Amino acid sequence: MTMDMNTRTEKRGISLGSRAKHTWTLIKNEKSLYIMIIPVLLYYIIFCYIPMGGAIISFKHFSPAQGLWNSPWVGFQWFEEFFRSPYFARTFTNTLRISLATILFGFPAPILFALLINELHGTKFKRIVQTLSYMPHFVSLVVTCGMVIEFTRYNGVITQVLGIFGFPQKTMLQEPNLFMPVYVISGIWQEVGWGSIIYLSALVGIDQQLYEAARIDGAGRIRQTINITLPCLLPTIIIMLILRIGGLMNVGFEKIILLYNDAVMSKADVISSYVYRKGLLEANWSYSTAVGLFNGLINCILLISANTITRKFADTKLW
Amino acid sequence: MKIKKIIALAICITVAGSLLISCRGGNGGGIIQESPVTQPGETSYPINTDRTLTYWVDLQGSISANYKSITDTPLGKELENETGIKVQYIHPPAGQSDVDFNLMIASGNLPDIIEIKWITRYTGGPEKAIAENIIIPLNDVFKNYAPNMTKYMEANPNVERAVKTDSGKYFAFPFVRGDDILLTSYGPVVRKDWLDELNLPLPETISDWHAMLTAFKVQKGATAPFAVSKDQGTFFILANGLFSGAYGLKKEFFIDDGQVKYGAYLPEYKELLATLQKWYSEDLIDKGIGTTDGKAMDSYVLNGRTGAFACYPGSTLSKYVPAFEAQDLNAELLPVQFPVKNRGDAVKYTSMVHPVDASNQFTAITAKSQNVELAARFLDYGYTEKGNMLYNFGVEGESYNIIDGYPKMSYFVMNHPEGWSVSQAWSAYARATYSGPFEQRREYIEQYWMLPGQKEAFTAWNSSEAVNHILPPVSISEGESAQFSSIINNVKTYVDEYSLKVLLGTESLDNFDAYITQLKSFGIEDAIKMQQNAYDRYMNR
Repeated sequence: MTMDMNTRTEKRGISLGSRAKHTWTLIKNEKSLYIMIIPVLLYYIIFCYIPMGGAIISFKHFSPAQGLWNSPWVGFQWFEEFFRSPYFARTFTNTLRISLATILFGFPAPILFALLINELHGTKFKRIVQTLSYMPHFVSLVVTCGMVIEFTRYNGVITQVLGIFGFPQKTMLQEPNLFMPVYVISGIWQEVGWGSIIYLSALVGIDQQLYEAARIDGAGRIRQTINITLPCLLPTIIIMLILRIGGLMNVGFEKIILLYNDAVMSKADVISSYVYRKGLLEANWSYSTAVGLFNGLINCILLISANTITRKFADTKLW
Repeated sequence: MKIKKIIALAICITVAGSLLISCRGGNGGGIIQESPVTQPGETSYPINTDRTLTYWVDLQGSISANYKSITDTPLGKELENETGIKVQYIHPPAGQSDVDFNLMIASGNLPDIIEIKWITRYTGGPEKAIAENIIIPLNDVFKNYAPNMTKYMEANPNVERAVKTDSGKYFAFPFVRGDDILLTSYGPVVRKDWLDELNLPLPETISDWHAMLTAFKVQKGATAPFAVSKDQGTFFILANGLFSGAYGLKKEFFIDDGQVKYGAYLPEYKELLATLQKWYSEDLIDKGIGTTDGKAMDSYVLNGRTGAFACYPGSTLSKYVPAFEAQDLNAELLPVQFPVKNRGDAVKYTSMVHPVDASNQFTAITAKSQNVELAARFLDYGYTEKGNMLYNFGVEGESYNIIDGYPKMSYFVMNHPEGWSVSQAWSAYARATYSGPFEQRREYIEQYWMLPGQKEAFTAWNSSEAVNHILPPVSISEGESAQFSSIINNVKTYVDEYSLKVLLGTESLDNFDAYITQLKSFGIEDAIKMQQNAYDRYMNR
């Protein structure tokens, strides 16, 4: 973010030595900024980059007794085993399905919510609504999932209310086809308020003169939203969307394992929950690392392509 | 991704750890045992030592309610007094036992002693754990430092057979159920008062059960006449012979005439599922069965929505009976026999386990321990007469008194002044209520199952034939173990999923053949063969 000045004084044809010297002067001038970034860099190196070396065990038959280096190499055995297993197609499609649905419904929700909040005028009321909407975000996932399970049982409050509209009185989390809706809707409920914060702050930054001009031209509320608010929000929305697409294959295993049971496994089991079971419960280290690595690779490809596409068409990009 | 990070981090720690260890090995020329505390062969307690042992074991909920660690309990203090050995217990976070154990193994950072279900929890079992240098073979250790254990094994050949691997290596100090009545501790319980009110006999057959559950539903308004919690797996009941026994099987491995069989792979399993599916469609089984956990179960039973269930009477009925009394309901819970097909059939399949069952905890000494002798002497104490009394009943004069030669638990334990449950008070003083390196005694269950409804379990669940069908603690050979556990994990997941879907009616029983084919392609027949070989080797030990 502070790199803009690089380009400012850069001249063609300067020798390597003077360039290094030049960089050094730059660093010296902005000393405190660079010092401040050290902890963050360390964090990423220690907790994100060094552990990546551990992915090596996905090509080995890792046994704790032999250790990381001495465990024998097995090539792509674990990957092949995963691709051949009946769980591959299932966890793969489930991951995609659940993730796409989360983006399709979960992504616009905070934007809409922010727009609605923005239209509210009483400050006090606005604040109360906002605070209430943040609350579920701060409740532990274990608790919210417990609530979801209770409320969606055949005699739970949600099932009973829906029953008034003719919904069958069944335990929802036993119906494979209802797992995804329950997962997505409960996710929206928990995160909509928290997710709207970034959009609200972007909304504050919009020049009020634009609205004034629009009003003079006779634009109503909806016109203003479509022609001013949304275009001004677009860069934020796109950056958020790219980040989301990069995490497309990342369906957190915590919520899945808290909600699933044998009855809905066929529609609920995702790659991350499968990795969790294989790796941490069954101690099948190498296999689960291979599956995790495969998942990470796809994420990486998705992120890069999402960035390329948006750079081409919308001129907003991560890098 | 998060998991990958954790695993990767764990591995980094391993690497760092192994570097450190190799450095130390290089300097000191290997780890040398300090001179023995006493002469081999004999132990005089208390031992004079300033070293502290580390001991990894699950902390029971009944203890964690009042103590942070076994070290703080009266038992921990008394053990230290008696043996002279300080022990620092390491407990995994509640519910994280498996994950914690796996990470500990992967990190290579092991305590002196690990108590866990070594046969079922460690992939490949004890033989592999020894081969991979996780735990040590105890043959010499027993001979030199564990005279009481050695004596105990001489007197009990069936225990001796169970604590050694196929290649003859002793691997652990076992938990032993010392009396036949301790072997069956899980089974069906019904609302006796409802039966009386409806003029129904105690159910014996599957059709009795059907009639009973229907009557509960229609006449008592029970919305979940039969319910089961998913905490141990919804089909834990079938693995323990409930209902499945009437169809001549247990859901997982069992023995029939010297043959190892896998219940869910037998054709009879289809009939069993058909029955359950029918019951569910008639609303005789809890409609939330897939999501019902222990708490939901409690509310079902206590609110009269359920009239029949399966449980461990020790922990479960001691919760329900007082709760019913407090509400002044005349509810009466009664254990009944495991149902059979035709009236008069003998009960063959129950929840009975082997005295040293594969699902028992075994206490092993790790290869990283530098206190092997001390650890052995500490664990050997459990097999002395005094140690046995301490592990079972606690401190004489405090938690129990000898009355006419019978160890009678004190009023203090049975009616704790601070309102602790019996299991909480008992497990503060002793380990008879769960597990440990000692022989559990009959007097425990006689006093633990004191409530109406608990005592009856002895006779109701007793079966003279069940013993012929239980699988002893066999171990799969080292070379086959990885394949075996991979097959069985796949099979179990698939069986549970299919069975539940059939029960709920979302999957048709017409696909049973496809189900069998799928099990076959997982390699179930190979797994059965491996288990058969393991069984044959066990019988020849």
